[in-house]
Amino acid sequence: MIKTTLAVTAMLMNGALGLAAENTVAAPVADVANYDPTLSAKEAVLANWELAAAGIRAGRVVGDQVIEMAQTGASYGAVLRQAQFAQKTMVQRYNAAFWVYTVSQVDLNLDPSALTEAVRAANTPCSLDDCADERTALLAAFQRATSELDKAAIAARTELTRREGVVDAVLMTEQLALIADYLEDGTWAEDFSLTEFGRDGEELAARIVGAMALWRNIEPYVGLANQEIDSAINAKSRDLLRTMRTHTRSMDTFASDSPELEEIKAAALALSAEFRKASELFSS
Amino acid sequence: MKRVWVLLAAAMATSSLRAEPQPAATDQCLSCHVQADGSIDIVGLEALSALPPEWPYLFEDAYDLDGDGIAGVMRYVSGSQGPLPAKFGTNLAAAKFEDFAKIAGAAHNIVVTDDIIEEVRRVFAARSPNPKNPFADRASLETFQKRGCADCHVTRTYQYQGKTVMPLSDFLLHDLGEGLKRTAPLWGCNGCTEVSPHVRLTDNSIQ
Repeated sequence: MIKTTLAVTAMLMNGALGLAAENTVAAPVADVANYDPTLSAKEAVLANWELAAAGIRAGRVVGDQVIEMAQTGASYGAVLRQAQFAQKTMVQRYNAAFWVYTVSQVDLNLDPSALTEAVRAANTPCSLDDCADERTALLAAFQRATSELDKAAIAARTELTRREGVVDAVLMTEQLALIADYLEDGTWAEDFSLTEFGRDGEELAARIVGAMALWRNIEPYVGLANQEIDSAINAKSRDLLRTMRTHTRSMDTFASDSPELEEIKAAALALSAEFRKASELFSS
Repeated sequence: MKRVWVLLAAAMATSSLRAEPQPAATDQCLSCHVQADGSIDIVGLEALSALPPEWPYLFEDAYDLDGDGIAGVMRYVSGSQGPLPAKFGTNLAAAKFEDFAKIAGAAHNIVVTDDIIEEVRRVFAARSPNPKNPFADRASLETFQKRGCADCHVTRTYQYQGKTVMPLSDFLLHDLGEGLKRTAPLWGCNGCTEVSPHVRLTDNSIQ
């Protein structure tokens, strides 16, 4: 199932295709007069790794703010408001980077139960005066969660660094194969951390758009290489997003065999096939 | 041997430029931004440089997952240590002032060296108005939030030089019918938190 990814990852590990500095993948020409920035294909792929690493780090940063408030005597209500904002970012960014955890052979060492505990603590109100027990529990939960996120962000950043010396065509091939494997593999539809809070749909949606965000950054280069495949990916992406929105907005939790989940998986599989074709554009 | 002379000549030309920054270039840059009172139209230049790098990640909703009719996307641009999320320019063209200066220089055919950029930064920073809180009181802030303005002009804050700063922007790109534009920071704006220039359409999107 993840043969392509493994093959490309092996090439990365061996360095067989690395160390070439030249850009070989055509990039769009920037419209200088309109201050239009553009990235090389290599930068676009590295941006996707940065998106994962920095996104996870952002979850840690907002979690740190909760810890600071809890330690410096802010009212429990104020701490709880910050915790509710923070847990949303932490959950969203963890799930948006789910592709890294599932198919890239990267061990980010993140225990998802740490996020579950942080979410539980952020949803624990307090009616007593000092709220000391709740404050202590919330502090412990966020300290654990931010520690996990910190480790994961560092690991993801290491993966980015490992790819800096690799030629752009190899990176494009790996990235497109990663997306294809991820969508096909279907692990994004399993192991939800927040079922008890009725937030399966939120996690699933974040996991899907996390992969779509990768496509947004590298789409121009695929478009220049093959307009037909580019259009097919965009059409199938719209199908997946429409199906995903319809079901995740109407359902709190998903049984593993639910027809709604099967419908989302079918749309993901159709899109995966197009990404597989795209990955072959740069592999010759 | 010929190549050595060419390199030497290039090095001397660069050295000459560095020794004597072209005042004309700084004036040219100022001419686009200076206002009648001598200040420039870029508010909070130094505070913007200090915007936490995590800021746009806190608000990005590229595919409108929350269903509020508003999609906002980050833009990555080239950076010295790899791609970085942009924050400068109405189309989010650059992550750093010096990069934005180079882009603006190229757009307006102004030669900008590193020394000129540093000079422009110094002059701009001196003339850039400090950010200010545009809300007269708590009630006007809450009205702003209730109207939905804070969906993009977010009311979260960060600390800069011991001050609490509220840029009133998510620093994301939104499509309001004229292509992708960055949410305008409102931290120097008089009265613009009172009246919205935007219209919410029947499909919940904003123009």
